[in-house]
Amino acid sequence: METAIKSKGASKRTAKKVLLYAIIILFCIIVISPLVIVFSSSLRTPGNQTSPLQLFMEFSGASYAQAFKNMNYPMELLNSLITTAGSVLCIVVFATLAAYPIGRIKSKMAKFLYYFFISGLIIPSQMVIVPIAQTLNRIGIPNTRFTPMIMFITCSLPFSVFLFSGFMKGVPIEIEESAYMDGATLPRRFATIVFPLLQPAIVSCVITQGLWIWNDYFYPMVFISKKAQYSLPVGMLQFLGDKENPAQWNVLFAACVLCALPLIVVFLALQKQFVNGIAAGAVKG
Amino acid sequence: MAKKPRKAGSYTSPVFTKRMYFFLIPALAFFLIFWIYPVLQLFYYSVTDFNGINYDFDFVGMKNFVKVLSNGTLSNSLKNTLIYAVVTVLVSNLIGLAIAMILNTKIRLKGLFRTCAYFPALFSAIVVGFIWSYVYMPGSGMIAGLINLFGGDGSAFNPLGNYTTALFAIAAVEIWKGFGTTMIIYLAGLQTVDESLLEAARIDGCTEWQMIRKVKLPLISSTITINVILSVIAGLKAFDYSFIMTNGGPGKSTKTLMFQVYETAFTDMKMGRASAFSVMAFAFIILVTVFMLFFLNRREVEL
Amino acid sequence: MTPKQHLAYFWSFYKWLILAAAVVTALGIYLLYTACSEKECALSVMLIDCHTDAGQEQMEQELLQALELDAKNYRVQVQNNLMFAETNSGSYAMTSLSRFLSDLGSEKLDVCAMTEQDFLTYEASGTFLDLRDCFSKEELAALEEFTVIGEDGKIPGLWTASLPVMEQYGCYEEGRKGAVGIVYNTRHLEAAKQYLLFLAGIQ
Repeated sequence: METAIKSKGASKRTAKKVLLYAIIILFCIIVISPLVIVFSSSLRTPGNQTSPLQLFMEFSGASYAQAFKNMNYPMELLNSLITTAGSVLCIVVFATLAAYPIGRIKSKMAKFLYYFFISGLIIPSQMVIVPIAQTLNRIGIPNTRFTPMIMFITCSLPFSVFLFSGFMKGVPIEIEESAYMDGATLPRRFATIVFPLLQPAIVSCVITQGLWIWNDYFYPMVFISKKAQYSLPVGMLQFLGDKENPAQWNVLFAACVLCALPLIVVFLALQKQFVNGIAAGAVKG
Repeated sequence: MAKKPRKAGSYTSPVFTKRMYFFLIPALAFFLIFWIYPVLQLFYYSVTDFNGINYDFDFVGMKNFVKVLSNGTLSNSLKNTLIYAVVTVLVSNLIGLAIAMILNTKIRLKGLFRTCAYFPALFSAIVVGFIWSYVYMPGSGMIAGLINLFGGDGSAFNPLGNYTTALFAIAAVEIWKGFGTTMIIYLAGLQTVDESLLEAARIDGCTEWQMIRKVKLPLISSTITINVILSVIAGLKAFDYSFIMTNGGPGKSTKTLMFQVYETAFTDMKMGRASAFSVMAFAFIILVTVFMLFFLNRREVEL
Repeated sequence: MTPKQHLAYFWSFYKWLILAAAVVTALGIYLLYTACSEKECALSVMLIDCHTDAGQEQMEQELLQALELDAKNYRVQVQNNLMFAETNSGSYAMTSLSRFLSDLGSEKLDVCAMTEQDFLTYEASGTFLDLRDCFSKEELAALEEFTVIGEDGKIPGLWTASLPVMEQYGCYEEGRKGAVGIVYNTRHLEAAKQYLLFLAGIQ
């Protein structure tokens, strides 16, 4: 969109543009360079120990093959998928349900609940893991492949409730009041009016929480016992474990790429929505 | 409809009844049982001499709190955490804002640059920490290798092993991973700015810099507030990279609040004292957050 | 409206709620089912920093056979991939530590083996039982050569250095001294004792 007024000298503007491009390109190179090294190292055979700075020395799939086999990739991928999808679904529904009264009712109770949920953000999970394990044990919940899902839902609630209740305030009340006049019941008003209007925030929530849950290794490692039930990040962590085998680096990098691969695919495919989603949730809120 | 006496600012339309509170039940159940109850247990340990393993401990009152306040670990980790938080919040937000502003102008390949900026966020923290340990490695790491290439001495470059630079080195990693998200949020905020306002400012003869300060920034102030608050909370809670990359060292220069709690609890085997520490850490974080919220909201209203 | 229309209408409005309720119910049922059908865990063992090449399943199988337990009713659990000190990755150590402490706190851990340094540290916090209270005099005499002697003649555990079964699995080799002991709040004392005897090659 060309502005109507031209500033003094088109050359000045071109110079500025070139400068901007240069800054951006340089910046992108700096940001991406560690990842380029990871990628190029992952394409080498497992034993190759020459300096990783010699980019793209070879193109072998051997490291990937070994990582794939050791990690039991298909099984772990499936576990990760089910856990992430299930948790995100539950979070979205629970958090929107909870945000509805908090965002609408103007009472001290609602305000207290809002801050109550947010206060959960302050505490990092590594501190409370032992009491959590004890509580789960007391209730009688065993260490299955989906036990971490409970904790994923619990830990996402503070941020999600915060996000949705902020967004809820931007949804106009008039629509609901007219629906009320038309005789719609409370659950109906929520499901048909409020929920669809929260969509940008829902996308934002799905993306941020999904990313975190997919990459989390802490809860799965504490709550899953059998190797066959591991999720992707745990499988990848096994490669990091051994101090004795530095030669494993290429395989490790291959495992890292494999673990991030589904996310990269989803990101590239849904780029537009991704970016709009994250933004919308925060800007409105 | 029964008439309720109207209190200023607390009028709830009759559309929203108290029955809505039922909607809270699933979320509240999960939250209370699996989070609040364990946290309360943790706080209970702060007045005992629990050592983390053996469950016959005794009630010791405020002894843990006194010990923590007096032996200097709190002040050290507070200092480290504050520096870390300030650096990450400032740099991450400034870079995010600057890049967002640049990307908001008419240049091509915006999508590519956006993708590049967001890529680091997709990898998990262990991977990122591991990669950057390699990048920082003296002698044969990535940066050292580049220094060697340009004729310098790569082995003298050791940010993670140096007492003064270690904290900043791990802050850099956190920034690298996190700025993509802040950038995207700022980009969206900038895109809601009305072009006509910018036009009017240009016609009035504003320079680029004046326009940024007086027009754009105030218009995205709510975005700035959210970003800053969330980054501050995350920064004060920082734990991962201290652990992954430096393990609190060298010395105690990278021991953040949460790291110190962890160390006291699990390495020194003093769970009671660690709980007391964490109670004070949480109080501190709440104070800082409330203060910042207040401060930022005031600025928002004024603008 | 016909019932079919009613149903379609219902679904279009409440589908996400129904889906979420379905997921939660499915999860609940799955957890309940595994909780009820889970075979009782006869023994839970953690080998920390052991660097064995033997797989988890293999160790569990052989342990089941050695303890002469019916595989249909019981299971054992051997965790041999946890590391505190032998890893470059701080995250791995932290997660292993969290795992260890959570299992300990929920009374799910029976026997634990770790490197000498860690063992003595945890012993000082009262993690391990005194073996003199567990074994009979004859058994103690048979285990004589392996025992760790603490203060006042207390015996918190056994050195892994020459335990035949440990050597067989390749645990704690190459100058890494390890020790194994029974956790103080174990619920399966008998099985734990049997395990230690099994490790020592005494049966």
